[in-house]
Amino acid sequence: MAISLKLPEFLVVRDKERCIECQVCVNQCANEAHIWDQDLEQVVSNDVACVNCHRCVVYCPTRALRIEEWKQDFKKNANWDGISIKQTYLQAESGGTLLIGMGNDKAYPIYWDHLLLNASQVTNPSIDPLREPIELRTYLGRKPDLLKNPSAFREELPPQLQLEVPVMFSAMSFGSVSLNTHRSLAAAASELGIYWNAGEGGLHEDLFSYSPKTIVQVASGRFGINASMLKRAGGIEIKIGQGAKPGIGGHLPGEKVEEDVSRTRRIPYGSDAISPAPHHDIYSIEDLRQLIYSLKEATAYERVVGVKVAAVHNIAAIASGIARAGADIIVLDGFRGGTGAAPLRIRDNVGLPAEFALAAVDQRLREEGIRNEVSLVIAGGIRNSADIIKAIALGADAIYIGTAALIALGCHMCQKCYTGKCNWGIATQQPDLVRRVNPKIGRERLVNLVRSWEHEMKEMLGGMGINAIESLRGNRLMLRGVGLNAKELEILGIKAAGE
Amino acid sequence: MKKVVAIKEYCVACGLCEVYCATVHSRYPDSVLKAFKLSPQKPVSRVFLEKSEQWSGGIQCRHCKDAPCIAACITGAMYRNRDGIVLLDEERCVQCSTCVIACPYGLIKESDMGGRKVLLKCDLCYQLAESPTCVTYCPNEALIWVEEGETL
Amino acid sequence: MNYVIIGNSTAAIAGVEGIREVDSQGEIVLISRETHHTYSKPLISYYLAGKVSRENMDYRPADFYARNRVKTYLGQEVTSINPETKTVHLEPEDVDLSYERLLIATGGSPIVPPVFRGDYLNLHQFYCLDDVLNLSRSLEEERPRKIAIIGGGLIGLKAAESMVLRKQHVIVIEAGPYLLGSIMDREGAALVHEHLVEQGIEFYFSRPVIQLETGARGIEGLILEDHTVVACDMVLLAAGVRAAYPPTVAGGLKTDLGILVDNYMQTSIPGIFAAGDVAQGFDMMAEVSRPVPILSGAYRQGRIAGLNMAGQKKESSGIMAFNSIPLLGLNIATAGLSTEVGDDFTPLSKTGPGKIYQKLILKENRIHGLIFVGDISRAGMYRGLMTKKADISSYRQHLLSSDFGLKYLPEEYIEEVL
Repeated sequence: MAISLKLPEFLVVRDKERCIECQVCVNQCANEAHIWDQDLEQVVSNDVACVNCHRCVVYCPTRALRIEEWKQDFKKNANWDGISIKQTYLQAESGGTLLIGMGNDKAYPIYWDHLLLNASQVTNPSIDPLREPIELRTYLGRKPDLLKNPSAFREELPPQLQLEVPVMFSAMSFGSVSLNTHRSLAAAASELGIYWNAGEGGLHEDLFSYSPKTIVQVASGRFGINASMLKRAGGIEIKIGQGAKPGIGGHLPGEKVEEDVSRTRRIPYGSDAISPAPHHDIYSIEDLRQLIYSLKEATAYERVVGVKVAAVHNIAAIASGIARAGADIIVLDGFRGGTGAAPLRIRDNVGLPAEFALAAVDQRLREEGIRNEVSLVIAGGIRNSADIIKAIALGADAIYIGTAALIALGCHMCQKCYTGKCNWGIATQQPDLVRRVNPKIGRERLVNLVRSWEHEMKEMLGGMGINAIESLRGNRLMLRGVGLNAKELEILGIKAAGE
Repeated sequence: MKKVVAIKEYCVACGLCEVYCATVHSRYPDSVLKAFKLSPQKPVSRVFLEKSEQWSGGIQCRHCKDAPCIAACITGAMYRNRDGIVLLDEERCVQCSTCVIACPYGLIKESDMGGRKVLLKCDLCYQLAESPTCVTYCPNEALIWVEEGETL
Repeated sequence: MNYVIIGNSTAAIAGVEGIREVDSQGEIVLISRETHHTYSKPLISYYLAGKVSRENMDYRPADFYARNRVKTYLGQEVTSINPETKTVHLEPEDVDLSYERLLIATGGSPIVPPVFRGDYLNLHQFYCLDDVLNLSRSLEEERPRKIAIIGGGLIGLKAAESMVLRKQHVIVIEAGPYLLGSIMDREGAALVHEHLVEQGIEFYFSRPVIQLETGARGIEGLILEDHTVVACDMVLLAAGVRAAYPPTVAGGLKTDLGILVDNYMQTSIPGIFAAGDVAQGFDMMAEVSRPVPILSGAYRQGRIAGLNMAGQKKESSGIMAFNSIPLLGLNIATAGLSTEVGDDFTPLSKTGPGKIYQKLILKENRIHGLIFVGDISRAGMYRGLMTKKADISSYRQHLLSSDFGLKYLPEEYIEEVL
């Protein structure tokens, strides 16, 4: 057999002074990077198997473990760096597409970090959230053009999603993530008074009690969707595209389609679950309108129907079309958005930053006078409460978090979701690994994360002298750009810092 | 009385219950490192990680109401304290191992302490103010300390 | 309610504990022929071997009687029981004590084979504390060189162990063909034999003692059935135990090999209960009434007797014979019908490595008995399955495998342990 040119990515550093040979690392590593050697009577490392997920590092009771990058220098070359060379070796050996999990990790600019928020000084007082109420409640859905009866206090509205915090858990299907991950997300969303999106794999029957707070997805594979599921759900989302892999479909290998996944997706046990790249019944805005309205018909116009698209070059025009097709929510998924599995080249080279997509779409819908007809939700790369506040000032009604939620559940961003051997029990269906997410702890951690963000958002709003999130929405005067060129400032619709 | 219950749905089979149990019952109860590096004999756990393809769980003495080990103990070394905890008075134990065969779950084990045979069983860490050590350190809350009959 | 308990060993103590679980007020009187605080009989060999102190032989702490408010008559013998007047008569105290509930827990008494009936200075019993206190004194004063032990059963071998630990030369005379015949099969016994020979013990099998050679020191030699002469200068009797009946009871208690009791430990006379070695109750494995002279059984019976005496109706499901006996470093455990060889029974066994022998006796998908020699660490689980009368068919292939454990057992069993 020809020698493999593949080198380990990581080095397992085991401090022998501290190792007590308890084998907890052996028990925890699904990749078998730690092995108990009977003859040596000690734990030995198989570095090449290590994915740097930190499971062993966290679990080691004596802190004897640390994972380092496997340092192997190549001759200095600004063009052919080590990563490019190693990827070439890998493809020369495998002949396959390079696969990867999670979102784009390249050093593209992160525009959130070039935006600065305003604060009140002297002339307009700031508000102390500990003393005065600050409103974060948000309603997603179509708002009427005019009040039919301006003198009445009540107006009949089309269906809305009520969010206590303008945050939702974005679509991650059962199949790509474990049932215990779904349990955690569903329970946390219900406790927080927000929505979670069950993704394109349907909703497991154990979670039906959470369905009022569940958004179900109608994707190109149409998995797990039927009339009763649509009626049961709190909201519906048509998934056209995904920020991590715009233009690409999905493929859940048959090995992952175990009994529960098969029943939930309503597909045969062990069969591959293929989501085609396009919806084969949507080739125009008119086709999309047909699907939107058939879903509304199926739910007696009592459910919000959203459309999720990846942020791509003509996103403003696309969004305008979606709004006119009758969508109640448009979800713009930026190129930082995560995934369970994507071709590496697509993930790293296709799409737009969510910040630009949001600014462009919000601007366009305003110009066309139809901004009130849809809510804008952005996804892909939101990391903290400041990102959310900036997104709302740029024009978003709410945001989706996926990666941040998984990190709260223990994800260490090793990007190996596609292997199905997630050591943190998240992106796996292997029963012994699934048990690693205890939904009780998962729920608590997610609730903690969102609650802490809630406090921070209120602080930031209060600092700007704003007491309701409604007053911030699209209020780009609260933003200034640093380190951005004139064109970038123009697209974002903001002034430069100091202006 | 409060008992330790293993929730097999959330056990991650890491074995930390064994590590910390062995430590807290060693000469160096506060340091895993010292317990394992300095003890003359490898510290021994009284909780046992049982694992199969389908499930795993840290199991230990159930402190049975009608405890067969107490009935079988030839010396009276096996006794129940005021809190209902079944304890073994190591001073009085003569290592006859009758409790080993009496326990229907096989949760009393013999251990070799440098040529000296000892019998070990879970004592629910009754000398600690807080929850039993295995519960305290279970990283996924798969061992819980609850009143008998309490639902999860 | 007032209670009288005759006896001061396991069953009697369990009786006190059983009564006190239900009735904290009633008067309890405990009568014992022995003068000692309650002590554990199986510990006599450990005491002799110097493995346990006299204080640690106490079966319950020194304040046991006081804490349970038990009035004791130690060193007193019951000379008659009158169920008509509900009284017992004590000597030498010469008093009548009345009872509402009586527990007979008089235990057993050692069997003396006819050839040994006589008064020999160097002939010792090996049954109770006074026996070993005497024996211990004799060992120091007389410094015997060769000690013959009559009987290769549990008591005989524990006695032999303690003698070896006292650096004595020991000869065991067993009338049967192999050791531990009441609980062990030939194969297991061979391992035990091999181990004990390595420890320097001499054995004679299948030849009972038919005559004694006597001299100034008492017994000086034993003549076996085949006329072999075994020289010795001390003899320990360990030829078995039988029920130690109390004095004749007016009206008569029904007996067989012990006092017959029902599942509530009540004898044929209402108000009179019996438990422990003197009683003959239900053997859950043999599923017949027969004596099961083991400590755990005595405890269970005593407690059930106590509960029922105090008015709490509690039925016994019977007791199971089981033993664990370490012999000079070799662990031995048996349970249930360990010697059963009948046609319906299928043995499942495993030998080695080293002195390891494990055997289960199966019948109709149930485990009925077990013998473990060497490694007994999992014996408890198998015994648990015996107690539950568990159907082993779904995991039969895993029985005795080195990783046998909960993981192979049915869900309901696992749930019980978690």
